[in-house]
Amino acid sequence: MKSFTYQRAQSIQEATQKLMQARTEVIAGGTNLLDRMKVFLDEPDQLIDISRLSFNQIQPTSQGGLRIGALVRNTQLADDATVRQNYPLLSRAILSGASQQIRNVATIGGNILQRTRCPYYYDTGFACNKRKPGSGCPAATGLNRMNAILGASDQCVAVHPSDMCVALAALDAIVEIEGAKGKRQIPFTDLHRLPGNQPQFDTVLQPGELITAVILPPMSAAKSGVYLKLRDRSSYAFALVSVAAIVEISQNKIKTARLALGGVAHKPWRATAAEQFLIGKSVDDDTLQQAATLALQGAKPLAYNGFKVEMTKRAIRRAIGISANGGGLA
Amino acid sequence: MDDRKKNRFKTSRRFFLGQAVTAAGTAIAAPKLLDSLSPTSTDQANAAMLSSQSEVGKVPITLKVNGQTRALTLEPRVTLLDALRETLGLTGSKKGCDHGQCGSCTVLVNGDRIYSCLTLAIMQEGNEITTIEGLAKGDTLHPVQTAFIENDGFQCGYCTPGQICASVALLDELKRGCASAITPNLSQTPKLSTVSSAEIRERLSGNLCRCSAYNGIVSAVQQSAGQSPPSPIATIVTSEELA
Amino acid sequence: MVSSLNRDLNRKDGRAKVTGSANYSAEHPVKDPAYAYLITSTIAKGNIRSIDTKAAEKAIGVLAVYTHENTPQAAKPTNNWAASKIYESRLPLSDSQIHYAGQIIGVVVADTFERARDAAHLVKVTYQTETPNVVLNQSTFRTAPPNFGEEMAFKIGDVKAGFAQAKTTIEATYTTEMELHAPMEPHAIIAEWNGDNAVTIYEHSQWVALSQRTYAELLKIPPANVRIISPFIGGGFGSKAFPWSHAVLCAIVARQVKRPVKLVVSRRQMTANVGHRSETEQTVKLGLNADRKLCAVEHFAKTATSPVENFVEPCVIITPVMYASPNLKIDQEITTLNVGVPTFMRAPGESPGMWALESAIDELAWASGMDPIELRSQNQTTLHQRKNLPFSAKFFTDCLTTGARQFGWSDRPNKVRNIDRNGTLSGWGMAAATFPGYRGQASAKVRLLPNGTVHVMTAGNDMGTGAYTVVAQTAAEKFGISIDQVRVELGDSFFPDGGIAGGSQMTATLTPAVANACDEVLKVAQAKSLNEAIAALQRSGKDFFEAVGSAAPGAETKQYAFNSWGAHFCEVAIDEAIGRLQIKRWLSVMNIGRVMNAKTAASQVRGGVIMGIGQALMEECLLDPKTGLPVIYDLATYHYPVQADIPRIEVTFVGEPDLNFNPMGVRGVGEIGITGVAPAIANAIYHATGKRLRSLPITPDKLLS
Ligand SMILES: Cc1cc2nc3c(=O)[nH]c(=O)nc-3n(C[C@H](O)[C@H](O)[C@H](O)COP(=O)(O)OP(=O)(O)OC[C@H]3O[C@@H](n4cnc5c(N)ncnc54)[C@H](O)[C@@H]3O)c2cc1C
Ligand code: FES
Ligand code: FES
Repeated sequence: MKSFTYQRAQSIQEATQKLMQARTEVIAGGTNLLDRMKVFLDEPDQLIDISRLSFNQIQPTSQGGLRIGALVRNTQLADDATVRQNYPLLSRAILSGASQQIRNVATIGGNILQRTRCPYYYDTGFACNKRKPGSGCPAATGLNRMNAILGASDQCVAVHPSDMCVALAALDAIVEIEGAKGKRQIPFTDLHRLPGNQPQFDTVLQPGELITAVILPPMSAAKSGVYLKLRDRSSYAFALVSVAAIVEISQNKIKTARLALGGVAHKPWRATAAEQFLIGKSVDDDTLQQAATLALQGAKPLAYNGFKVEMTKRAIRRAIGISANGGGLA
Repeated sequence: MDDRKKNRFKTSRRFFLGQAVTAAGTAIAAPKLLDSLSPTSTDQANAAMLSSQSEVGKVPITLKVNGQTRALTLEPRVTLLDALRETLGLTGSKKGCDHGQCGSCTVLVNGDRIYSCLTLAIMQEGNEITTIEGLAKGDTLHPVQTAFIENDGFQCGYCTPGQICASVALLDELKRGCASAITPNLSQTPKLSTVSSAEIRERLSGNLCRCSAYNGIVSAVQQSAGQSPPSPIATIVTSEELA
Repeated sequence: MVSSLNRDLNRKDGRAKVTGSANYSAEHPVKDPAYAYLITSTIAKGNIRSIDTKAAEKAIGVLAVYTHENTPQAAKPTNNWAASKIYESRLPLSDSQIHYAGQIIGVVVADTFERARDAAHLVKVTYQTETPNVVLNQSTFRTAPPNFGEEMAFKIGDVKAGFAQAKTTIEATYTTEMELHAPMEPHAIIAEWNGDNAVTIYEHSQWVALSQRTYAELLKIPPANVRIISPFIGGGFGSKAFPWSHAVLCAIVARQVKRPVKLVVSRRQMTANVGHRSETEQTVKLGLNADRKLCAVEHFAKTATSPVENFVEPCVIITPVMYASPNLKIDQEITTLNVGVPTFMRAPGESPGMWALESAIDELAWASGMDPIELRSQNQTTLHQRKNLPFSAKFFTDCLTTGARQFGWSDRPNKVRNIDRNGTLSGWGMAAATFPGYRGQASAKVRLLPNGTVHVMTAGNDMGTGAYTVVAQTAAEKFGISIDQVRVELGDSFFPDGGIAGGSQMTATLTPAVANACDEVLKVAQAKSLNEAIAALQRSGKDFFEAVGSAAPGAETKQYAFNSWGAHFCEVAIDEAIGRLQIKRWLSVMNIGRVMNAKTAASQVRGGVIMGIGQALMEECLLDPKTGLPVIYDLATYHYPVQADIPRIEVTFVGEPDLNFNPMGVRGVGEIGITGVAPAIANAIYHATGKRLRSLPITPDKLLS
């Protein structure tokens, strides 16, 4: 870790202004940033600690949803009574990530903006376009078991590692952003981007912008939402693939469907074509199979991750099936 | 790279190191390579410069550890774990990975368990930090510590302080009604008296143990939760019994 | 007389470990330590063209930067296991050659850890890169050299003729990936010199006395001037027996900077620098005749070693020890890859060897319609077929029958793909376990104090095996006192050589020496009992009586072969649609001679089983085929089991003390637990799914229907 100066931000404005300066980064929980700094992926000269700022509350919105401050800790959100009741898949997604120790410290903003765990990115001994644009992507032709099958480019095959974000994508969340130039809101699914030929950018955030909150719209169907995570060991491991599914059943037919995938792309992946297809169908093997196939349409497996295509399809079928039955533990 | 260089020059310590100085103040010869690049005078001024150099970038940090207030002077980049181990001599918190991947550095901050390797000491100012050294009351062990001994919840002992801190926090989380990823019903969280071993195992999965004293650790938690855990002792079947 | 043996006493070192007061290598308080941080190679093969240390040297707090260009060399050690032993024959920084990714190419010493790490990153290296080879099946192989003087190749009868008689024959190839020891305590050392001629080394060492001799040779100082202090070891599993290059380097640079130097190998650096178990590819062919006897057995293995050391993972040697066959042939080949040094890792050879053999036996059981327990019990051998000696106190059959009874094996459906109550596939599997009974030579000192305290001191040590406890128990039993009256000090080279904590032999080696030392101290006191001795001591006005006792194996090794035996039984539940596996039940029945402590011994077995579960389901270290750099390099990428993976593991011991082996009747228990675990699981997976998986680890993708 390179040496840096450390300051506690007194206000968001101060933080966003400081963030405009070169080689400056904000630290919230620090569980991802410090991890990266220790292996020289990030070498800021200046760290702005935002963890003591006050946007750390979960508040009901006037529409009946929730506004979650970006500094709310992962544990706090997972254990929030309203979240457990109204958005249980969000609790489960968070709780299936990392460990209690990390979740106690990790913030919502930090979780969203954590960077990929691609082993080629994480070791400066390798070339990596995300770390050093133009240097190459050895993962694309290397050991890419954990890498992307959807939306990747020849410049980058990294996946976004967050579990929580997969649930947020399915929940139609909105992100509240504040920068030196003011505030804006964007749909959560527009926050992260695909790598294209600029894999160094994970999101559409502009220099100096901070995430201040995530807004969950009211969604009665979310009570039956499901989060299913498949991984190499039973706990404390990143997803091979994961699925957040919310289907609403009315008169034995699917009325609304929301489906998001994790572990498969550079961003939490919303499977809209499959959602569209599901509407109006009854929940049977055939429907699930076709929806899963649609969701994985265009998948481009790499040398070592071909299994993810089938595994994701299975996970989709399972998760939708459980959600259609009222939800619960997957 | 260039930025870094610039920055380093800015910090204005382009004096030289033909000497290194121990805290006791004795000047010692630096290795050859450095000698060839620098003057090798051994004067006191040079030595004084060096000891002031060692303060460059350090800031005062106050930590509350195990009920005591400790004033330190550290670089902001020092993690809580390194501050505990290397500066405060509290080596009970272990470093197994330094990257939040093993749990052996687990400490309690305001009662919550965290990995002390993934937080900066300076970020923890004002918080109540409890380490393994702060759990026992004098000679009386914390009940979780006793339960670890009785249930053979360790072998080499390296992960143990982290496991114990995690277990202490876990019991408290259960009391507070915290959920886990496998809690069947999120609005009905498990009680201490009935929490399942599967729940305990999920909740302690952030603490690796390569010796794999996992069974004993679960038993220790069960005992601490007021349950009657299975015995850690092997069954012995003698030849007479077999006959 | 109070018998403290064969009981379940709590660990003697428990309090130190649960309070955080046990000091591991990097934790010994020394005055004003400097911190060393390794610089490691980012290529896997080639040469260092230039190494620019200027920026590092100028960094704040840096005391010195050492590379191959300016580091005083260590003396070449004898490296013969007697006078000295190092893991990696090539001495650190001996030239500019790079043999594997992550190889140590320099070290920075600074006044703080943070500054040392930062400065190490400032060192700029240019390389002349050559194409590395890290892929086993793209290599050329040669006959494996002997391991411990034992040839890999061995033959009985004529296997070709044997297979001609077979009614059922199976042949299959099994593979395992590179595995890491990954102890929780990273490798670490503090070297503190007193002048140029005497050094204290605070370093975990599974063999303190040999470590002392080794550093003496490397540093060209008398052994008496080297003190090794290793009271606690945070896990070793074979990777903390001898000095590694980083430690040699630390001792050298500490002499140069004239300050205690602390060096902790980072978790990533551990991937290349502190050993691993080689990947293996093994082919087993078995023939069963009409009498349900093995008429031919063949086992062939390929493993890899490093350019800087010749180490064979001796996979095949266990086969003639397990099963009798008039026609048997084993052989092994190795190749050299650009990898760090492979070395002893829990049950070296037996662990992968039993994976192949016990999977093959299960395949044969299904192919021949025989129950796997019966097949094993009918084909076990009473003779060690290579040594031609009978086994001593072998109770393998009892392991099988007791296990079958306790597990309820007779309820196992005799067909594959059975659905359990939860709608998942349920499978039961079993496999045998074995590990040789090793015993070495050891000494211990016993000191009697006037207040009746018995103080046992030896350089032998406790990696978590329970040595503190069984040593105390031995003295307590000898004198008929409580273990609270016994004080044990371990892991200090000032004490008599306590042998190696490796090969599962510490208890068998050390406790007879402790027992003898107790006798010796009575002789010094000219007393028949402890009370008489205490009275004599009080009369004498001396501070203490003390004596050293030793013990070593004798002629019994010419009369008997010694092995521990066991059997594992498990039940798995598999959700085939999504590739999710859960181990539901586990039972291990072990025959290890006398059980000194049924609590700590059970933990040793459980530890072995769980490491075996890791090997079976998740552990693999993979190297990028192009660059040779690892892509699995820390505890987030190298998965080993967490709590959630592990069911309750029931442990049962059967058999009797092996009094032919040593006066205590104990054999080892540290390694046998891992043997047979992976095949028990794969066999259960076959029972559940009908799918025979022959490549470890069995990750979810392989389980997907
Ligand atoms: C061993 C291990 C296992 C893990 N396993 C999982 C897992 O299974 N699933 C999973 O989802 N996650 C996992 N994680 C990742 C973990 O969830 C993240 O580290 C954590 O969520 C990051 O939150 P933080 O507050 O600590 O972020 P920080 O480290 O503080 O910040 C992360 C990044 O976001 C930026 N940032 C933080 N807050 C803001 C803000 N409000 N506005 C703008 N920028 C901001 C920072 O500058 C930094 O670049 C794991 C982590 C580890 C170490
Ligand atoms: S040292 Fe902190 S989690 Fe491993
Ligand atoms: S007791 Fe050794 S790592 Fe847990």
